[in-house]
Amino acid sequence: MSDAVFQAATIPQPGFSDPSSDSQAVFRAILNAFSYPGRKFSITGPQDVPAALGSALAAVELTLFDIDTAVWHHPVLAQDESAMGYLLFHTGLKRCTELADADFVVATVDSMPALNELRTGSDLSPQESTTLVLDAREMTGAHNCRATGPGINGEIEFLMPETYAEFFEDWAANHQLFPRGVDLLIVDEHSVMALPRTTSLAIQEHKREA
Amino acid sequence: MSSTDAIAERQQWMAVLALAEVSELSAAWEAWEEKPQVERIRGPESGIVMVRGRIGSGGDRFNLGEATVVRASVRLSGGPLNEDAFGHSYVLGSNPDHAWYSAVFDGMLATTQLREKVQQAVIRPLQHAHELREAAALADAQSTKVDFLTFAREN
Amino acid sequence: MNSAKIEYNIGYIDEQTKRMIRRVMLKAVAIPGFQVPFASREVPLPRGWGTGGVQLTASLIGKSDVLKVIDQGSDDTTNAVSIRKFFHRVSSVETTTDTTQATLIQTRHRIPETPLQEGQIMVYQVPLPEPLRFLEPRETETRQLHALNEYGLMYVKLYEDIAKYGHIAKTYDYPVIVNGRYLMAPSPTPSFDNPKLHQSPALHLYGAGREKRIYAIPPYTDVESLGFEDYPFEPQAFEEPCAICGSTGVYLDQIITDDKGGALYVCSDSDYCANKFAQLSKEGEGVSE
Repeated sequence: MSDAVFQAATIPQPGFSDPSSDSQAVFRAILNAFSYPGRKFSITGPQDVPAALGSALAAVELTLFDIDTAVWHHPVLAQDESAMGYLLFHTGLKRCTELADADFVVATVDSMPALNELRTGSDLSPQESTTLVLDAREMTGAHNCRATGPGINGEIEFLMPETYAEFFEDWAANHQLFPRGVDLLIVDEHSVMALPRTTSLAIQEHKREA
Repeated sequence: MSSTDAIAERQQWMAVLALAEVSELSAAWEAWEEKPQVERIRGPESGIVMVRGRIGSGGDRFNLGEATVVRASVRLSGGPLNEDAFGHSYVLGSNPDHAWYSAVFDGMLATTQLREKVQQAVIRPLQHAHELREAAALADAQSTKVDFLTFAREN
Repeated sequence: MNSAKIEYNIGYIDEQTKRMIRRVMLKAVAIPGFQVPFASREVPLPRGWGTGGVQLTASLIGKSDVLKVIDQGSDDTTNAVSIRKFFHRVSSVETTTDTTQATLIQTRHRIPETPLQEGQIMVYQVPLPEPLRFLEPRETETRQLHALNEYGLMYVKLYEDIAKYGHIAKTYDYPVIVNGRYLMAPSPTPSFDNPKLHQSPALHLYGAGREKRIYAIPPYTDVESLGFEDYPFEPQAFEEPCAICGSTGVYLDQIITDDKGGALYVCSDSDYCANKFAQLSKEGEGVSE
């Protein structure tokens, strides 16, 4: 009798070692990120994870996603059996091929869809919008930005990873849609930062002193 | 063996493990000579499942009620194994050790290498012990049966 | 089947519920003042006793938190004590009465006098999240009014108060406009507390368990209490200082002392009062030398 009948194609790595505590800590960092846009908050994820995900992004997905979330992953990640097997086993998330159906979109700086391709909610239900999770580990460039809005004491300067050419135009249009709109969560190797739809961005002309 | 048969066989041994006593399982694990290494993949963790029934045993499905279930998933490697194995358990109740041992044995049973050995040494004895317990409970219940001569009964 | 001791999950509710509430919280923070619907769960409190606040706290709380629970400003009323003990039992978290030490503050109907800091989270127990409810009983209608940014109804009510009484008659749960867009009910905190919400360094989360809504005021957000150019919003003021610690500019409770209408006015915020009193006692000791 063949073992193939019984064996999973790949056995996933373990998730959080203490799921309740670990996901709580990651969530508090994400909540801080949404509460204080433009600031980075560090997160710790499991060490042994599929390489395509990386520890921090894995931690975010394990924390936020489950059977009630429809998630669109960018093609490289979506085709990675190890990453998808891991996520499906630990979260049970609903895989999504159409951007319009997604509650969450996970993309890299290269694969990020245009903001106007994403769901922005309705005036009656502005919360039914897509949240964009940007994997910024391999950013090729960055812009000095100045941000204002709820959560920011006056203004804040931060580095926004470079994505697609019209991003800042699209972000301004997104901001105008309030209360509808898309929210952005940026994840790098060790931290999260968020730009909720209420944040206004302006690119700085001059380089900020280090 | 077709995959339907294989699934049926797995359901059968998973049932035996779930219905066993934890003490029997831990004794069986202690007694097992060449133990593989066990890595926790998920759990033991408890949760709730919705148990469903069918109206009149054959009709529409309905939600009977919630039941507490504890589950575990483990990776077995090394020891007697040529390849890593993935073991799972879902056990009614909330005993984490029960889920743990069940997942470990399920993993070993899922391999061609160890299946027959575990069936012989663990599953059949557990099944037998379970049958004895059931028979004893039935006999106990039967002893309380009263025959009313005025009450005709089929059984 | 073998039985084993059931251990409570941290915060009592299950992880799937926490995730659902957490996702709702993020939406609430992204849309300041907007009431986000959520699947309110059973907790060991009856509806109307703070289940919304409890579900928020349960979804937030972790081992590095320090929890303060107050009810009408006091740490030692029955409900505050019960809720604090509950969370200590199901999460083993450190609890405190000291506002400056707390990371999470669950409150019924008051904001502490001590100014809040960045990183602190206020969790409000909300009975009626819809500020227009007493003016428009239909949920279908109030949702439309929020969608259309149509709040004339509320301004008419305030105008009628002025016409009838000479001033706006609402002294608690005083409606505010958040981030220049949504009309929001700040829960039955006294209007005295409203100015504390404007550009606050802390995050304010509101939970209505029975009504099944969560909403938020992010830190550093504009919160404007409704008023008119000629009749602007005026928070309450007290003539007397606190009878215990002598503070002015704080919200006072009236304590009836006899059957002839005699009354004492003391700080509603028990932690603030105790600290002030302790400070005064120390200074008193120094002076008497």
